[in-house]
Amino acid sequence: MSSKFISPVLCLLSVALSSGQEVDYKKQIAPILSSKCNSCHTAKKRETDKKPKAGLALDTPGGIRAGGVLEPGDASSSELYVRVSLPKTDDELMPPTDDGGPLSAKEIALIKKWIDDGARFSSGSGQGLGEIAADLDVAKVMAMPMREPNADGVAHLEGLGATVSQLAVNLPQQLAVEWISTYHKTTDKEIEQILHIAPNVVEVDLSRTKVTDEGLKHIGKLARLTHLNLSRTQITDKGVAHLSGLRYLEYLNLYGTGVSNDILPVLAKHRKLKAVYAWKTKITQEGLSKLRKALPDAKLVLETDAKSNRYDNLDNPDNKFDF
Amino acid sequence: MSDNSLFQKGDEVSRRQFMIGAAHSYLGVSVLPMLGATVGSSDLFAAAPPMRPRAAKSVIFLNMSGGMSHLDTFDPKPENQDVQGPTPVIDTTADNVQISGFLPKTAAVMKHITLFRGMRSNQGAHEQGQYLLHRSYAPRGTIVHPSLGAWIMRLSGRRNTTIPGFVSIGGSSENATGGFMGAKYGGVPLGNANSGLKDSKRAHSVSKEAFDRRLSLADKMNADFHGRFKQKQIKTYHGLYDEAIKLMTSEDLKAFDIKHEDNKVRDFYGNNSFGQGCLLARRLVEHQVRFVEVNLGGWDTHNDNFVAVEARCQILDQALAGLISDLERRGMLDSTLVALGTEFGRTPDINGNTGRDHFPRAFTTLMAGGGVKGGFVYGETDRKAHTVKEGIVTPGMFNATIGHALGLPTERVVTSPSGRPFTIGDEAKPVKEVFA
Amino acid sequence: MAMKQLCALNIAAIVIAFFMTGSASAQLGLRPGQVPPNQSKEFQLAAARKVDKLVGTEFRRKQVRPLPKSTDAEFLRRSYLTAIGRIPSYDEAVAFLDSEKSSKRVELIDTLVGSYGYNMHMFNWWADLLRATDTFQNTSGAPYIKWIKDSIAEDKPYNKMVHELIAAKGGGWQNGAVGYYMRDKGMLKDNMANTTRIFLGTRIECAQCHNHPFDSWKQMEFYEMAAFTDGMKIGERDSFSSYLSDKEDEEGMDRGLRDVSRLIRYAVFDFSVADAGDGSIKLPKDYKYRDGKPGERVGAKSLSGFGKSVRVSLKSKAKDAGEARLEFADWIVSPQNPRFTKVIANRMWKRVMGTGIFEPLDNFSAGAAPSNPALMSYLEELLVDLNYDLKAFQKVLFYTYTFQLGPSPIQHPERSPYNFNGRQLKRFSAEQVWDSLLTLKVDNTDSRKGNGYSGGAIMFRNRPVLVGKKTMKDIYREVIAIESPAAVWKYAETLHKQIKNDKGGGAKPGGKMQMEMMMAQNARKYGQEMRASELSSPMPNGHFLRQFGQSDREVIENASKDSDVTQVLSILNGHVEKQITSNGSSKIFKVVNEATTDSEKIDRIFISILSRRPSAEEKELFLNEFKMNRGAAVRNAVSALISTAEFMFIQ
Repeated sequence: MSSKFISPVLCLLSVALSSGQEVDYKKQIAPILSSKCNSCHTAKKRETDKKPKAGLALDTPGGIRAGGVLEPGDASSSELYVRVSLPKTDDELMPPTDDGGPLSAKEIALIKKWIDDGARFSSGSGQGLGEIAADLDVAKVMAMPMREPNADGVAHLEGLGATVSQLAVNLPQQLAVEWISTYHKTTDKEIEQILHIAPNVVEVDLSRTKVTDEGLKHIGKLARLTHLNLSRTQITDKGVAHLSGLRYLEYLNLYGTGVSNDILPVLAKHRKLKAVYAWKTKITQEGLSKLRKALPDAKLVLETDAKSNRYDNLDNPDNKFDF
Repeated sequence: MSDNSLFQKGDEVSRRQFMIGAAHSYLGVSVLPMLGATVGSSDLFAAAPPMRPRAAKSVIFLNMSGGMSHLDTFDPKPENQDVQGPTPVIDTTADNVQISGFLPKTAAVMKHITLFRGMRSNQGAHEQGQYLLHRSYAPRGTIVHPSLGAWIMRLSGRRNTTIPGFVSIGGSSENATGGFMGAKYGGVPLGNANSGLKDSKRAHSVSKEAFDRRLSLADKMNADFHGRFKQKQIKTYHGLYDEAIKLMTSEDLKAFDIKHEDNKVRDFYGNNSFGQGCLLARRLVEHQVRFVEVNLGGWDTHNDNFVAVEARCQILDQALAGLISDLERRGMLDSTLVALGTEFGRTPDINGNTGRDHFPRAFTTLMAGGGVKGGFVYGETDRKAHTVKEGIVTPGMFNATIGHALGLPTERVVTSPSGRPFTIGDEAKPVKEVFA
Repeated sequence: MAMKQLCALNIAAIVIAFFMTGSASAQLGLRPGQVPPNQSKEFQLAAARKVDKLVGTEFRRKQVRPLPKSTDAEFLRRSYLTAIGRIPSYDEAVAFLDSEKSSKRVELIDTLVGSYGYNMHMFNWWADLLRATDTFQNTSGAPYIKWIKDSIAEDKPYNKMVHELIAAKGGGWQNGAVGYYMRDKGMLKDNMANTTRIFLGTRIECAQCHNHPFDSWKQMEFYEMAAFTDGMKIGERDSFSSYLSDKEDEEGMDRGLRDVSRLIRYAVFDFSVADAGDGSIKLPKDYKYRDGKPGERVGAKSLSGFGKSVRVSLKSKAKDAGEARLEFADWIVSPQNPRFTKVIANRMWKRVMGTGIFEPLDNFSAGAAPSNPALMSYLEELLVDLNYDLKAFQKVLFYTYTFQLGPSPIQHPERSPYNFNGRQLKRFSAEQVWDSLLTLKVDNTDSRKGNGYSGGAIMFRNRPVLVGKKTMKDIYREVIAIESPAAVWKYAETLHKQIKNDKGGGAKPGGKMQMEMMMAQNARKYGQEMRASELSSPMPNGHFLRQFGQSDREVIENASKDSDVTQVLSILNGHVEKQITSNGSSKIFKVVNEATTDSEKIDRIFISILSRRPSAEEKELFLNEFKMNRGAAVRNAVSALISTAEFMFIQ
């Protein structure tokens, strides 16, 4: 291994850059990655595509974030910067010298500054997002193309305390939205802003937020939603009614909410449901048995497995599942 | 969840992806044209991901330290009394899977569990075995390998950035080491479930006002100092104070306090340190802590194996079954991988002290949730549980499988400061057969 | 970036100014009368000038401007932390700051380097390097720790120390240096990799399993090196040991007697390098290269390219194996060995100056090239001239003008060649944090010598016993002379009775025994209120020292200066708050309470914690705090200053 010296030229360049404005991901970083890195580091989109090298896709913001190569605010701890800034002789230099490497000093300095400034993928101001159309509904969302998500919309939501992540490195269009450490101050107002990225949202976790029945109106427009977690919120039957247009819903977590048997006919219409969680609600075992007839393959969870009668086949009569 | 054979169309195709695809195709024309017109159906349907989409978000790793007897827990051999001894055997909720009668509650949740009955290690001493189990590498005097939690932190980072992402409850704090990756990726060791996060609350001796005044004074001093020394290390050090304040005021700090649970729930896990550790693990995972380890010791049953193992099993059974069913009723089991590991099994031959000795050649571990199959057994030992007939899994493979369940690139090489290359599973491949 | 500032400046003039500050007229190679160089202050001062000249030449060559000389306060704090590992106490700081003597800097260095604090700080360094722990697998590492401390105390030349380690033989309580091998019992191949890494700055561990991918080391070469130690037998008189062990397991055995027997077994029979091996080794079963066959036996041979090589031929069985390891030790420390002196000279340079002349310190193949080759080779010569006296060598470096340069505002990238035109800021080591906080808490930090173990006292169930009557060394000497296992058991029974009937006392005033008793008592009296070097090595995981990065002593130089949020919490809410800030009997409060005015109190707080007086603005800021908040102001000020980066970084 050769030593990891950092060229003094770079130091000078970064000084020169520091007086300038913020580096723009779309205009300045993406073009570098696309011309110098993406021949190897591109997400697999078709069966016939190659896997991205080292499982790292650099062609989308989601791929870059999912790749664990960024330490926003600290370029020298970020693999994305460290690997491109190694000396020519280092085996770990990226891109490899026989494959277009190294990057120019200016490109390296741009990447450094971009990461040091927080590695933002959009200006994040929420400006230019436009209004959410008042007449947006589930059909309109379904009609929208499912392309690369609106980076401004993602940044806007993140600014409101949401965590927005793609389902996997190779699924940049499909997003999960959660409020991880900000749940306690998240209300319908913040939740509504999901609609800026409505066509891309497939998972939403509202667990423990202050979402109300009214707020579920917005969720009801997320046409491609497959997973929805409403556990330990204040929602009631009225709110669940707003979800009737979500035909792809597979997972619905209602644990610890105020819902009752009255919503079961609504749920029965969600033919794709594979799992419904109803522990600590007003839903009863009898109610669930009816739902089970409509959704024979779905998992319907009311209490622990051990309490249900499905384990009578155990041979040993001493086995008591008295949880 | 129904075991739909459609979803087993090769491990390369993501389950979730495939389900979306299937949904669309069944719905037919009403959906497809809309998507097809704009994106091109091939983009959405034909994608073959290089790795699993993120199924598990968190891991709860149950460490059975001391070497858990496989015969007396998850790999009984009732047809061979000479090796089985007096340990009873029971059926479970998984077809054709029998386990030890010491684990009746676990038997009830077996339909969520995948057993790895072909575990094999090459380390026959506790310390070395535990080292290999946690780090995929044998100990060397020349490097400290990072533990699994550190690998996961390194490859995927924290989900909840206000609290630590890696917590280790009970057991050796070695299990929480960041190794050559540094303390940054290491875990926070908690002595036990009741101890809470050390120093995370303002001391009684300081009023809120005084605390703020101190910070404000320090801030002013630091501003001058940073003006003189515009250095990354100084900036980073100041940043840690902000992070500390963020942590101290975080709503999520409650996660560390199991006193918020009512007594019924606490009993549900068993009123002992392992049970309460599992309960704490669940609380932490609810707050999106990425990796939690809980330790249960006392498996080193050289003497009176059957009495000792039964006593251990009472604790394990209550806590493991409690954890799995509590995660399930909260709808968290799909996104939480529960893994149970041990450094080695015990000898099938019963020794002169009615005990069993160390046996790394064949033993059993398990996983539940996080996208693994339920009621599934991977690997098999011979009729005396003496050697692995098929499905050998090394600690490195086990760890790679955990990484895979989280959707991490298990082939990713991380270079130590000394320039040596390492991967999460010592180059081992994940066992993809265990995923639903 | 430093370069940028320079462009407009007249570099030559500045560099000349740099030389003027030292006594450039001093003659080099000065060897007055009969005084050996390592004891001649004149020689050492002259050598310091020569070092400055070599550093200055580099400035001129690279067109770099050195920073201005450090202030008295900067120099004071830096010297204390670097030479003795803690900040100065209030009195110590005031004495220096207020002194008007022109020679006060040199005098301070002489005082510090001559003090016991130097030994304490040096021990931390050795313990990290040698992975010295209080306990090895089953037995106590105390003899090894004691050997290291004794070697530091008597200024043992470095080459002699290394030779003793490599050639170590016999029982631990007879020759503590065998701890070097006891430490790695069962992993002597790793031990060999560590030997070349520590002492030769060369990393061959990759070659243990395969030919080195980046370097030229072959697996064969690794095995030939490992052959020097491979057959070494650790532990002696196994039959005695197993006899005792069987007796201990007998039904109804008295627990006290059992523990005494164990103590004897571990300390006498187990802690010993009895046989040195025959200087040969078997290649591994999966050996895959053409230069040897799997399982073939090969003789020891030293690495090529390191001076005149030594080897043990397979046929020369007659050759005493111990002699082979002796030759190996000679080879390691030979002045002809091109890396032995270079590595330690650079380590010492880094220890004093904060940054190495080459880094990494221990991996030449990773591109470690001296940033200033002329300086490097002079330092090597110097160390030889000083007869490998590390204290004298460091003293030379402390005397330099280079050491006195001001702190650099710019953070130099890790591992890149540095020209030493200013001091790089570095965070305190864990021990420096602990020892500095202790300085705020108690008096006389450096005279609290503790750790009964390293004094050689018999520790029975974590308590010193038979203090002043018998030491571990006595037990070793007496037991090793006994000829039958049964007689050893008798000895154990007698010893057990003596311990049971021990009422304490018995040491003669002023004697060596009394010293041991004092150390054992200190451990009880002060608890953890002692410097890091006097506590366990290492402290248990989770302890403040470990939290701040004390090495776990598992691998070489494993201490860390990384900061993390748990450290900050410990400062804000934990250890620091409880032990110092809210502890009314802390020394700092006594110091502050002697002042009558707020202004003077603030001065005292600043000097105690930051080793300097406050600026006018700072004074105003804190006076305001005192006005607004009478009751808690002192505590708030103390806590705030400890929470600054200025406290935590050596400037």
